[in-house]
Amino acid sequence: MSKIYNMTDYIKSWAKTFSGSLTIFLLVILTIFPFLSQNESFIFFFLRHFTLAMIFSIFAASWDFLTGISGQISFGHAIFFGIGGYFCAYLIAFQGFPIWLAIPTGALGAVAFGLIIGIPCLRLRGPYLALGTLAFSLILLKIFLLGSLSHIFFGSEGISYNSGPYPLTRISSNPLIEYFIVFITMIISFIVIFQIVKSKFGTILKSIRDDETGADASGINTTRYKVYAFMISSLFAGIAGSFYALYNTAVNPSGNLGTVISFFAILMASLGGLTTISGSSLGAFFFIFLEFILIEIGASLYVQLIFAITLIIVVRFAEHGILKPIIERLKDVWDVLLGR
Amino acid sequence: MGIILEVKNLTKKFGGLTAVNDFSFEIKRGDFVGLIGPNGAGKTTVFNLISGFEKPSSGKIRFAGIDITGMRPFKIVNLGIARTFQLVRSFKFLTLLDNVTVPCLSNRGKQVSKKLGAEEYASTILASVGLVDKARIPPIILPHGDLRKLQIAKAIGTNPELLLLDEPYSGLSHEESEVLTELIKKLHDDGVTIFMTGHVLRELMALVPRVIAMHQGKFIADGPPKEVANNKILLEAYLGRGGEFA
Amino acid sequence: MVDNLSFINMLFNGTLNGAVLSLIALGYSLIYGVGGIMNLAHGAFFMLSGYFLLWGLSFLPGLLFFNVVLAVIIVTILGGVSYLLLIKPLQESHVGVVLITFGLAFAIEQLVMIISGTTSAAISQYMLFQGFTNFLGFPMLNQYIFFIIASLIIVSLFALFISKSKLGKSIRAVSQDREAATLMGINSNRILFYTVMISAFLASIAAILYLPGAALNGPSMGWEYLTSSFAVVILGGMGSLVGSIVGAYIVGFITSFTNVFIPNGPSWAHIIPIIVIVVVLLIRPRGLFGKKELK
Repeated sequence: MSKIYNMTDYIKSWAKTFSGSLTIFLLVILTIFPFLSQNESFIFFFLRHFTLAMIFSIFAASWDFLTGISGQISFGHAIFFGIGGYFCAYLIAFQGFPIWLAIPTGALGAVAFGLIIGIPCLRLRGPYLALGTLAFSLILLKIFLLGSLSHIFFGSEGISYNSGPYPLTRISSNPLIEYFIVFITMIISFIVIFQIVKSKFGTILKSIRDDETGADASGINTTRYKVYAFMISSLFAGIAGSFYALYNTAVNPSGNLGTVISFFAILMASLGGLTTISGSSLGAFFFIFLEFILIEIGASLYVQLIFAITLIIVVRFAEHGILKPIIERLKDVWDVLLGR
Repeated sequence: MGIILEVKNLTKKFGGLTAVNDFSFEIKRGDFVGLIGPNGAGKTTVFNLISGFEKPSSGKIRFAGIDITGMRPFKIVNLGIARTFQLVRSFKFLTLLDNVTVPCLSNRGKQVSKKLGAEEYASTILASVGLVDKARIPPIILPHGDLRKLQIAKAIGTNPELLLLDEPYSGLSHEESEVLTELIKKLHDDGVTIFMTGHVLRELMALVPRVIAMHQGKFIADGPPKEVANNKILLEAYLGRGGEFA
Repeated sequence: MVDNLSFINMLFNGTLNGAVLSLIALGYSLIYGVGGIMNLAHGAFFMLSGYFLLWGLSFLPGLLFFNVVLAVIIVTILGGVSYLLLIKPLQESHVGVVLITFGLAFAIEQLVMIISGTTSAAISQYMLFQGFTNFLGFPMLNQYIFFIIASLIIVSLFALFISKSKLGKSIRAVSQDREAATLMGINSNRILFYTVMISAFLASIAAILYLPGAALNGPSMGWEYLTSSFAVVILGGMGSLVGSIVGAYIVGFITSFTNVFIPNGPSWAHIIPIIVIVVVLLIRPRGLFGKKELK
């Protein structure tokens, strides 16, 4: 019984903090938002972008967990995202898996790759790890693109709606339901990741990030923890990747395993602050909508250039993310409003 | 009481350079021993070899009867050897409390810390080194003396039987050194075997009852400080380099 | 089938690949050895030089020499500017340098794409040496023969520069022990600045000599050369300039061998550098001549 009391007290006191209130406020907006308009084109188009942003929020958070929290720089995160998507798509299109089973199985496939990639990468640190993961993702991309192996990996065509005996459908034909399923998954994912980060396990991961030799000298089996970090990160990346496959009802090598996907993870998480998990979500939303706006005004050619320049500026001037200073200002305003 | 550390014919070569050359010695449980030698003598390498951060080219290291030659560092820590580093290191972005909690979460540390809880226990360690009022602060903004104390606090967290201190006095003021000496003496009184290197010899020679001397990777002398201080080879090594002595 | 023609093909192209890679990887290894920095924009510098040549020559055709010099100068300066504005301020943070050079590479690629699109472009009409020379029945592009010789000369000149010149000695001092070099009065920041510029210079020279023969395969070609540089430097050992040269020729020959003799060779040849990276990192991360610890 006391555990439940502790939980409610904890949530109550969290809600009173600035970040707690801000989070609740944003969550409330996200909940009401879909019902704001009855316009069909709005729903199909604009709403789906929110869903996409939430999918990438989970992906960006998974990257941030591995790189920002555990200190393992990943430049090949598309691997876990894409493998999750491919597994999920394959299981639905060719094995007739129901969606609710295919998504977790896809995620587990991604975890398997988390091990496959993570274990060889254990002795790599810093830029070596970055380039090692990039190299692995390039290998995987090339393998999936090889025409000679397309009977196993589906080649450059990938898997699409009618590829197999079973149609590859969306999570739901109703975008509203799709939105809320992704929304709830995002909330649960973030809560889980956040709790891990806050726990003693998370502290150990951060110690490995800050000083791996020191963690070793503190009696920590850094190898084991690094493998755990890879597995947890790839799990959530795989979940995001599975949702993405269903969002598009298709998977293909460049769209799901391309280096641009890895780049997105880095970009979105960096914008929100490398060490804040919640920032990843803000980064994801910012970029999905920046891309949306740019495409709307006909500047789609410039999208990735602007992203690249943004990354340069963010990393150069605000390694803790540009959103943090903004949030700090908002926090000061909040304190003033509450008369503190 | 029993031999806690046995080092036999320890040799380490880096390419053409022999950093440690056929080095042998024994330390008994409860001893308080210093390791001296001019810069570059190989003292830190010896520590790295014992604590597992380097693998020996040849030779054997035994801790409490267990062969730990070439074992991985974290496993050696969990057997009961802790070390500090010459160049102060810390978990830069974690609080002091978190810094000390991590070693308390090691397998060996957990055995002691689980009763109170790792964080609580870490708090008591911080208190014992006089840092508890800075528990919520990250190491980045702390002065050198505090960082040295932090290193020792982290070492204590793993509940060591043998503590290797690598140049713990380096960069400390006179007051800070005195505080550190008290801390080390207290640890020794609590039963921890202390093995420490030093370049600032005045403090070291006054503190320890036994000193092992090395030069250019080789064993020179082993005995009470006054005796070792008169060793001809050692005198040449130090004076020849213009180093500080006695 | 192993016949004479295929064998000469493999030898020639292996040497050619080695010649290109040695210049590119040399610059990459230099920056790492001196500053501990992985410049992920290195491949982009190479690619950009080729495109500057293309653009310059479409504006001012016929002025080959002028455009060549201009392309090299611009990219070299770009290297220096990138160092000052982007890399130097982030020296303390490994993650930061990696991310920012990555962003720079992406930005450069996108800029080139916006200007020239993604299709390949040939600049073979600008080759200094046109035509082929026949060797035992195998046609060798004259530009390539010229390039191989030029590459060997440049590498030798560079070796002389590094060992004999004052700047070269300062560079070596900083790469061995930055603190000691500073104590000796060497401004390591300035040395690093020159190093990045030299590295960009080498990449751009390689580009303007080699790419006219090879064609510009779209702005994304930079990544392949970056990956190949990394493979070469990992194989040769980070921080070892000799290792980069040796590694370049080894990777060059493996790639050319795969192209000629392995069934479906050309599609696998792309992955060779990546396989090299993976294999070396798994088996012997130090590489062949590696000096620095893998930290």
